[in-house]
Formats: sequence, C-alpha cells, structure tokens
Amino acid sequence: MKKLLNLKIFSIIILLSTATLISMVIIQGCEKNESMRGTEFAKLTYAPDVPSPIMRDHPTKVIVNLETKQVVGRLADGVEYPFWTFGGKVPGKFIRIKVGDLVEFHLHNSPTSTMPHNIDMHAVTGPGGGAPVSETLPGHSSVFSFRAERAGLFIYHCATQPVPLHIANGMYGLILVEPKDGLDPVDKEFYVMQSEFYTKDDYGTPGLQQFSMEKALAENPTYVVFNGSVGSLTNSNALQARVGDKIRMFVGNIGPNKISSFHIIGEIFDKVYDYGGKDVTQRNVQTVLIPAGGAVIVEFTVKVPGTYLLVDHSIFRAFNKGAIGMLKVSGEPNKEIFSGKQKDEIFTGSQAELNGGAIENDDSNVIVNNESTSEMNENDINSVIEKGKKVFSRTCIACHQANGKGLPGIFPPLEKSEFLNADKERAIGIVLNGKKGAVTVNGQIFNNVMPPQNLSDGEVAAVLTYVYHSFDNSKKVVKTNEVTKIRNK
Amino acid sequence: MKFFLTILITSFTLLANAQNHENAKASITKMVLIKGGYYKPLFKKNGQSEREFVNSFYIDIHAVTNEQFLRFVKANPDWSRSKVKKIFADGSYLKDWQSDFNPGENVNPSAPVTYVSWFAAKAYCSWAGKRLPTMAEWELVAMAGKNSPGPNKDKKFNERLIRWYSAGLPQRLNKVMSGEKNYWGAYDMFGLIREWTFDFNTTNINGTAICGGGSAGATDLTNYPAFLRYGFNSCLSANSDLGNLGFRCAKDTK
Repeated sequence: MKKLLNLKIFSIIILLSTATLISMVIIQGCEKNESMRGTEFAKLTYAPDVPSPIMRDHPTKVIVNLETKQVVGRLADGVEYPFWTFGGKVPGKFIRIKVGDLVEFHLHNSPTSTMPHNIDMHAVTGPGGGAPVSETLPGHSSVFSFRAERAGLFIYHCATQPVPLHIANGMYGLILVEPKDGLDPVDKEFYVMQSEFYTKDDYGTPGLQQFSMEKALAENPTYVVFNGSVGSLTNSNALQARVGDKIRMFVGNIGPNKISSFHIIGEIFDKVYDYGGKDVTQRNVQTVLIPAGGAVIVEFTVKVPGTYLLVDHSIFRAFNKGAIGMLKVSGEPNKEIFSGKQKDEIFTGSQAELNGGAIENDDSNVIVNNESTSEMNENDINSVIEKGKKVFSRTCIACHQANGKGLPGIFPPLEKSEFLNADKERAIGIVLNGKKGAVTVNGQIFNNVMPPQNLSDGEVAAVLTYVYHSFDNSKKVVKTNEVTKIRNK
Repeated sequence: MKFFLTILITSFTLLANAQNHENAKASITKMVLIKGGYYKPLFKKNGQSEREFVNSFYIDIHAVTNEQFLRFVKANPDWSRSKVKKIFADGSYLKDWQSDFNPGENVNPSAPVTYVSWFAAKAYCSWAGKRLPTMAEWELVAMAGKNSPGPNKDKKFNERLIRWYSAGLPQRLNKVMSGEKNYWGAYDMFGLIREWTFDFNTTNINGTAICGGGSAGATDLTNYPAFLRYGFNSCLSANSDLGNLGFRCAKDTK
C-alpha cells in the first residue's frame, strides 16, 4: 500500500514536472519567436520554377550550395553560345530565404572551369555583396556567411574581372528574401529573368556564337531574351495556368545594359512591388520598368483563357531580338469580361461618313467584294502580284515578316513553305477564317492563333498569288472566284 | 640586324646548352632574346609613369612539358606528388598524372605540364639554371603580333583572345609549339595554357586587390583579355594548381 502511494506520488511529480517543462518550452517558443532555430539546406530551382514558400515562422541557418560552370548551350534554334553559369543553366538557380536567416553560402567552382568566379548578391549587406570573399579558383569551394537583413527580391551575379564579361556570358540569377510574415498565398509563382547577349554574328545566324566586344560596348544587343534563350517560354515551354489562378511573377533584369519595360499583353498587374522591394507600391499597372541589375514582383489574376505574351515593350526587342514569352491560360471563357470577336465587317471611309461613323450591316458576317480589287485585271499577273505585295505589307508582314521567314517558334514561315505549297484551298481558307492550334511547317511545330483576315476576295487572291510567287514558293495563281467559292462553302 | 640577332640567339643557345650540360637530366628548351622595350601595365603602380621599361632578357620558346617536368621530379623526388609539402602545392598538384613518376597515358608528354604550383615552377626554373619571367617580361613578349613587336592593336586579336579565354577546359591539351609563333619566335603565348609569372600577385596594388574589384585606375578599359589575365593571376595563391596553368622559364642577358 505504502509502495503504491509512493508510486502515485512519484508519478504525479513526474507528470507535474513534465507539464512544467512543456509549458516552459511553449512560453519560450512564443517569447523567442524571432530567435534563430535549426539548420536547413536551401532547395534551389531552375527558371521558370520557384522554390516553395517558406512555412516556418522563425529565422534559421540556411546552407546554400551553388556551382559555377562554363557550358556550351542553346541560345536560339540552331544557335549555340559558350555560357558561364550558376548551376549549369542561364539564368542561375533561384534562391529563397527569409528575412533574419543566417545564410552559409558555399560557392563551388567546377574543376572544368578555366577561370575564377565569385558571387555578388544584392541581398547581402557587406563589401562587394560577398564577391571578394567568394572568389573561387577552378576546382575549389569558398564558404562565407551573411544575415538576410532586408526582405525583397534581389539580383545575384558574378563580379570577377572583367565583370561585364562574366555578366554578359550568363552569370546571374535571383534571390528572394521573404518578409517576416511571408508573402500572401497565390496559385502559381514563376521566375522570369531578362538579359542580353552580344554575339559576333547577326540574330539567328546558326552555329557556335562568340561574344562581341564591339556590340557590347555600343550597347547594341543581338539577343534580348527571357530565361536565357529565344523560345525558353514559348509554345511547349510556355508558362501554364488555369482561369481564376492568382499568379505571382518574380521578374529580374540583369541587362547588362538595357532597362526593361516589362509588359504582359492582355493583362493588368493587380499589385506591383516596385524594384522588388518589400511593399506593394502600385496597383493596376500595365508596364513596369526594371532597371539593369534590378527586379520586380508582379501579381495578377487570369480571368479569360488564351495565350498571353510576355514582352519587353521596347517592342523591337520582343519582335526581332527574342524578348517574348507565353503564358497559356486554360479554362472556360468568360464572355462577361471578354466577348471574343462579335463582328467582322467591311468598313470604308465614305460609308463611315455617310452613316455618321457607325456602319449598319446585317449579322451574316458576309464580306462583299471591294471594288478596288474587282477593277483589277486578273490576267495581268504582274499587277496582281504588285497589288498582293501591298496587301502583304500592311496585313501579313507584322507576323510573317517582310522576308517571309516568320519568327522562330512563334509565327510560321511562308518561305519555301511545304504547308503552303501543298494545298492552295487550305491556304485560302486560313486567310479567310484564320487558324488556331498546332501546325507543322517545314518540320517545326507552331501553336498559335492567326485571326481571320478582313480582306476582300480579290485581295485574298492577290496576296496569296504574291506569296506563292515570292519566298521560293510554288508560283501558284489564286483567282478571285476561287476565293469566293471557298468563302461561300 | 636580323643576322646579328640570329648570331646572338644561336650563340646564347650554345651557351645555354653548355651550362645545362652539367645537369644531363635537364632537357633544354630553346630560348629567344627579347629586346628591351616599353610596356604599359593595366594598372600603374603609385608614382610610376604609365609605361614601364623592361630590360632585354631570354625566354623559353615554349612552355615546360610533362616530359621535361618528369625529369625534374625524378631528379628532385621532393617535388613528386606524394612528397611535395602542402605549403608548396595544394591538393591538385599534378593531379592528372597517373602516379609520382608516371604521367600515364591520359597525358601527352609533349603537352605543357599543368597542375603545378608557383613554388614548383620556380624550383624547376632554378634547377634548369633559369628563372620565372616577371609579369612585365611575359606581357612584353605576349603583346607582340605575328610580324611586329607590338603592341598588337588588332581588334580581331582581342576578340580571338576573349574567345579563347571564354572557352572551357579541353579534355586533353595540345602539344607545345602546335599553335602560333609570334614576332620574337615564342610559341603559344595564347591559346594553350595560362602561365605563371614571378610576381603574379603584385596586381594587388595600392592595397586594392583587383580580384573581385572594379576597373578604377586601369589604363585601358577595353582591354578585356588583360583584365581576364590580371583577374585570374590575382586570385591565385603560390600553392595553387590548375588544369590550365603552366609556365615557361626566362633568363637574364648578363
């Protein structure tokens, strides 16, 4: 009995002390929420992926491993470039940490490198952003530590001599320092990095390219790209989302020379963290400026399905130098927000004046022949071609380009086009009714949309005759009545 | 003049032969006379003028080969891979050799020896009765074009150098003298390996290391090959051993 009592008392004491211990731990945990605890290895991702949000509510010691490597890789279709990289690809891997974290950074320089590399992180408070202390010879590793003092989205890059060459060859990436309470949850996060490449030969010249000192000094890039190469975010590489998704993009611009005017065609940024700083500074923004060596965070919700183009709105860069990407949104259409095409009808200046600006027409969508082409003598092939060239220059040139080569991965070529030459009636149909979805042209897959063209039958006949007689095509002749026949089908 | 030069070179070669004959195990590399001249350092030292005069000297026409270095190691086993002191060479010393006294089949005997430290390079040169060239001497030789003592201001030359410096490490190094010969008769100043110089780390001038630093104070801001060289050199330690770093020797004229 006495033994039993003793046991009881003993177990009560144990219970009490355990409870006290637990409550002490809890109280300590609450009071010292900000104190550093634990160690973890950072999981880094290649663009366009972003590491998962950080769920812990306290700073920790984060070990980051990153390897500098010199690799030959794809800059555009058929074009290669000797890249210098953080992690084997351009841009470098995305690093995600939290404010207050103590980062133990391990920079490894591959034994196959031919020169030293280092890392200058704009998230670091300290000389050179860590560059001098991380200078690392081939086949060596350097370790240094820094406290993430400020939340925000920051660039990192190599700063070994000569710094501009290390940057121009691909050595950059982004590091996100999450604020204390993290970022609001979203459905999708993407990593997009704009940069320039200065190559000896012109845009698209096939083969292994080399750095051009002359173009770099003149700040005249051959390529301006997202995520390291032309087409890294188009067609099958497009970013994917569903209608209703809230999207956050971490967008960096390293330059090395140009400022980016980042825009997504058909979207409005609901929130903008200007310069990648901690706070939302703007709402409802169309285009954001990203300085060279800077970044921005944008958030928006996609409501209408379709393809949205990411561009640098310094638009020649998007059109001619590669600064174009795609966000493909799938889901149900929302006619309340965007109707799609409701009408397609003839507009002539004179009619507009007569009707006070508005044209009344029936809903049949039938386009009547325009007298300007019906007057043309169809037997005079040269005048048909001349007429067709005019139509081409104002209607087709924007996408298919003056030389008929199109844009690799985006707009199919008309030059020596097997697709075009194979079927005249199909070609007429596409000009009249447009074309949607995947198509293979000269061995390349294109997945885009061509809208129906607002042209008269005579104009369609002329422009197709022009195209068939240009760009090494099969010299077919398209007559107006052939077009009318297909339109009336 | 040219005739005179040839005589001089020939007589020196004979002289060098005679001197080295004492050590039968040293294989002799032919040397050429480099006539003294001005060279413009990328970074000028405090109080110095932009141009620096370099006295005449002799330099090896090619880098020291694996075969030559093997003779040195055999004659001086303290410099073999397993015996070398850690303060004189880091863990990568002669790492592409199969063993202490056998470079093995992966290494071309006629290719430049690499993975050698500054200490080892210096020891080799003094064993051969020579010394390492200074950075100024090396640069004076390297700035020559094919047909003139330079400085070679051809833009294409610069581009070619950047291309070579940008390329990755080859699987196997070419043998020496398979590349270009310059005005002085020195081979492969570029395109094969980088080379140790006696004062490789003196680019840490004015207390500022160029290693990770800026371009402030440089005399030619567009000379990227020079920045690449200086940047590389100033990051080295005397015990560093790298796959693309070897050396050649020099000698005073007197």
